[in-house]
Amino acid sequence: MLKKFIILVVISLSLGFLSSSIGLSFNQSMAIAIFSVSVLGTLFFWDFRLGFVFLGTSILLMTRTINIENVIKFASLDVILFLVGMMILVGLMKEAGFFAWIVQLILRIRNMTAVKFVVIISVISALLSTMTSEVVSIIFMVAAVLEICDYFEVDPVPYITISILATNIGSAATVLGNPIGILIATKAGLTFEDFIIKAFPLAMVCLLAAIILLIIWYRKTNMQLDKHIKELGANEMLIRLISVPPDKELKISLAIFGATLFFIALHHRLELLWDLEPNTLLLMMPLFASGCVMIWKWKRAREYVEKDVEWWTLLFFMFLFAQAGTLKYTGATDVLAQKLATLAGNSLPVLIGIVLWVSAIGSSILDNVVLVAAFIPVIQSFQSMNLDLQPLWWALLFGGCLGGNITLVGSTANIVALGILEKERNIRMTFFRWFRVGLAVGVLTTTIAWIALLVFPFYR
Amino acid sequence: MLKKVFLLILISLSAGFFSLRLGLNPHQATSIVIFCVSVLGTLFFWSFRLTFAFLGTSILLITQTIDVDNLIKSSSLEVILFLVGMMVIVGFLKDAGFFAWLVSLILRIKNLTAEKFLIYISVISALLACAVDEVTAIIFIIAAILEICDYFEVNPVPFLIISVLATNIGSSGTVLGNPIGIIIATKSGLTFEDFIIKAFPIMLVCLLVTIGILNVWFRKSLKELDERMKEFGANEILIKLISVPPEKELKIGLAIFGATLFFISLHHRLEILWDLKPNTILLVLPLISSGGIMAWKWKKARKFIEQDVDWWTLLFFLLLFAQAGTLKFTGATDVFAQKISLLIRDNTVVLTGFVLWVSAIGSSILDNVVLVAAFIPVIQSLQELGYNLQALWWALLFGGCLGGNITMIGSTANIVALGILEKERDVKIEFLRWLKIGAVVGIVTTMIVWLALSIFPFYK
Repeated sequence: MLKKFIILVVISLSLGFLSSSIGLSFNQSMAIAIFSVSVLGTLFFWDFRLGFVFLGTSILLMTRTINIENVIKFASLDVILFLVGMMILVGLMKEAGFFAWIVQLILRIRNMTAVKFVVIISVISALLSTMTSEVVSIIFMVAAVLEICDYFEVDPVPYITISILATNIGSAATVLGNPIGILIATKAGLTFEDFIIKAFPLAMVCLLAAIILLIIWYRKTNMQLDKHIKELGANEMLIRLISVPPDKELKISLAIFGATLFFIALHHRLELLWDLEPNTLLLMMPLFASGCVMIWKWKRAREYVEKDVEWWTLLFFMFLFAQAGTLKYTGATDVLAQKLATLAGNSLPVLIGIVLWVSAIGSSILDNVVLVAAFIPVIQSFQSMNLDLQPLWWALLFGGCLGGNITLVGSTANIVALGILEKERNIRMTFFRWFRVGLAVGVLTTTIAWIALLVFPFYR
Repeated sequence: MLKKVFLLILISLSAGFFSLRLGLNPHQATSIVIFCVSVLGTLFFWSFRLTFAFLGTSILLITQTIDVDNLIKSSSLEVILFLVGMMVIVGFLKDAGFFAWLVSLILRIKNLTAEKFLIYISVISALLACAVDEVTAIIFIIAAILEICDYFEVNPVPFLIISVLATNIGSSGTVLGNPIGIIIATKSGLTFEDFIIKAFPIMLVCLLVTIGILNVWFRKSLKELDERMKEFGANEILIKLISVPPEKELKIGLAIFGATLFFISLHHRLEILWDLKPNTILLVLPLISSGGIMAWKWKKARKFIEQDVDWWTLLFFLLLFAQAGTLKFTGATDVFAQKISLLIRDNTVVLTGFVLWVSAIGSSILDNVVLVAAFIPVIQSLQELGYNLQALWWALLFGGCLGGNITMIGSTANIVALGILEKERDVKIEFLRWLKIGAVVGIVTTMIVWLALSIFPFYK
C-alpha cells in the first residue's frame, strides 16, 4: 500500500520534472503530473479513484493551471448526460425483462451443437454490447452461459471467456457500445452513421476472426460439450421448461428502445434536415427517451435515476475529462503531439500504428476511458499539423476496445464477468489462463484493424 | 390529474403567446414556455419534475433555442459540484455521529425551562442550518425535539413548528445554508465574507424577533411544558441516561468540517492573496475536503456518493439552471429587465421591495431554487442596463429563504419535517394552522429585511 503510494508519487513527480526539463511550462508540467496521478491512481488504488480526481482537480484549480469555466467546459457534461439517459433506458429494459427474454431465447435454440453454441453466444454478446453497453450485456450473457453449461455439465470457463471476448469486440461497433464510443464521436464530430458504415463492418470481421480462432482454441472443450449434448439428447428438456413469452410491458419497452435506436441511427440526417448543430440529436435522444420512460413509469423514476445510473463512475469520468482537458488547455498535448509526429516522421501510417497499438496495450492495463481521455487532446492537437484525423480516431476506438481483451483487468466487462464467475461458481480465473487466449485474440483483432486502417482509403 | 395537465399546458402556452404579442421573438417565447412548464411542473407534479426538465431541455435543443455548448455553460455545474462536495461532507458527519452527538447535547441541557428550550432549539436550528444545510439540520433537531417532548409528555407540534421556522430563517445566514445561497454567491460575485457581514446580522435580527413572536404565540404550550418540567424535576434522568462522549472519529470529523468552514470563510482573502479568480476557493474547498474524506474512508466512499448525494434533486437543478440560462441566452430576460426598468425608472427602493416580496410570496408556493433560478437572469440583465444593485441580490436571498416559512410546503425543510412527524407520531398539521403562524413570522421577518435593505446604504 505505502509502497504503491510512493511509486505513484515518484512516477508522477518525475514525469512532471521531466516535462519541465524538456521545455514545458510550469502549468503544462503541472497538468501532466496531476493527470498521471489520476491515471496511476486508477491503476494502483481502484477504490480511491474518485478521491484522487477530486483532489487533483482542486490542485489544478488552486495552482491556476486552469480556471473553473474551463473545467466545466472540458467536463463533457453532454457525454455525461447522454450516459445518464442511456443508463435509465437500460434500467427500464432490465426491469421489463428484456435481458431475461434474450437469455431464454438462447436457451431455447433447437438442435444445439457446440460450434453453434459458440457462434451464437459470440454474436449475441457482440450485438447486445453494441446496443446497450458492454457491462450490462455481459451480466446477462454470463447468466445464460452458466445455465446452459450447468445443464450439460461442462466447464463454463471457456464459454464465459468467449462471451467476454466477443462483448469487448462488439463494443467497438457503435456509439452506444462503450463510453469511449460516444466520447470519440462528440470530440471527433463522427456520426452514428459513420460508426455503422466504418466501425461496424470492421468489428464484425474482427468478431468472425475471433470466433474462428476460439473454435480452434477450445476444440477439446467443444468436443466434450458435443458428447454431453448427444448423451442428454440436446436441450429439449430445457426448451420445454423455459418459455417466457414477451409480455405487454416488454413490448412497449422494446418499442421505446427501438425508436430511440432508430432516431439515434438517423441523427445525422435529421440534424441536416432540421439544420441543427452536429450531434445535437445524438446527445439529446437518450434524454428525451428517458424523459418519456420516467413519465410512463413515474413511480419508479427516482429509482432509475438513483440506482441504475452509475453516479460514482460518471462523476469520475467528469473529473477525468476535465483533467485531460487541462492537458489540452495548457498546451501540453500540443507539445506531445509535435514530438510524437516528429517521432513518426510526420507519416500518417506510422502514427496510425502508434495510436492503435499504444491504445490497445495501454487499455489492457488501464481503464480504456482513462486512456482515451488522455489521447483525445493529443489527437486534437494533430489537427494543427494538417494531418488527416479520421483514421486516428478509428485507431483510438479500436485500440481502446480490442485492447481490453488482452488481460483479465483490461475492461470493465472482464472484471464484472469474472467477479460473477467467482461469486457464483467459486472459480477463479488465473492471470495466465486468460492472458494466453486474450493475447491471441487481442493481437489478432488489432492486427486486422491495423491492416484495414492502413489498406483501405475508406477510413481516411 | 388531467385537469392539471390541461391547466399547465394552457398557462404555459398563453405565457408564450403573450410574450410573442409583446414583441419577443419565437426563440425567446419558446424558452419562456418551456421554463413555465418546468416551474408549473414542480408545482403540480412534484414527482414528475425531473421528467419535465428532461423533456423541456430536449425541446429547447431541437428547436435550436439553445445549442449544446451554451446549455452546458449555463448549467452551473460548479454549483452542482459544490453541492456534491458538501453532501459528501455532511454524509460523512452523519456517519461519524456528529448529529447524534449534537442531539445528546440538547437533551442534556441543565436546568431546562420551557423558554430556555424554545431559545435553544431556535438558535441551534438556525446555526446548524447556516453551517450544514436546512434539510440535514431539521432532521436531527426534530429527533431531539421528539425525544424531549415524549419525555415530558407534551405535544411536540408547536416545538417542531418553531424549529422549522428557525431553520428556514437560519438558512439565509451563510452561503452554505441553502442551495440558493451558493447560486446567488456564484452569480453575483458575493463572497462568504459578504454573507457573514451583511446577511448574517439581518438573519440574527429576524431570528430574535421570531423567537419573541413565538414565545407569545405558543405561550400556552410553553406553560404546559413548564408545569410538566416542575412535576418531572427537569430532565435530570434524561441527562443521566444519555451521555455520548465524542469519540476519536467524531473529533477528526469535526476537525475536518471545522477546517473546511474556516477556509470557506476566508476564501475571499485567500483568493486575493493567491491571485485566483473570485469564488475559486469557495467552490473548490468542498471538493478538497470530500476528496480527503473519500481517501481516508475509502471503504465508505462509494456509499457517500451513491446514498448521501441527492442525485435526483441535483440533476433537476442542473437542467433547471440550464433552462433559466436559456432565458438569458435568448434575451428574453433582457426584455423583461427593460420593461421593469421603464416601469420603475430610477426608483431602486421600489425595485428592491418588488424583488423581495415577489420572491417571498413565490417561494411560499414554489421551490425556492426554481424561483431564484428564474430571477437570476433578470437581475443579471438589469445589471447590464446599468443598475448596480447589491440590494437586489440580498432581496432575492432573503425573499427566497424567509418566504419558505409562509406555507407548509414553502421549503424542503418544512416538507421533510412534517413528513417525519406524520410517520413517527401519526400527527397531521392542517394547512391553515401552519399558515396562521407561518404568515405572521414570514411577513414580519420579510418586513424587517425590507426596512434594512431600504434604510441602510450598507446594502446598496
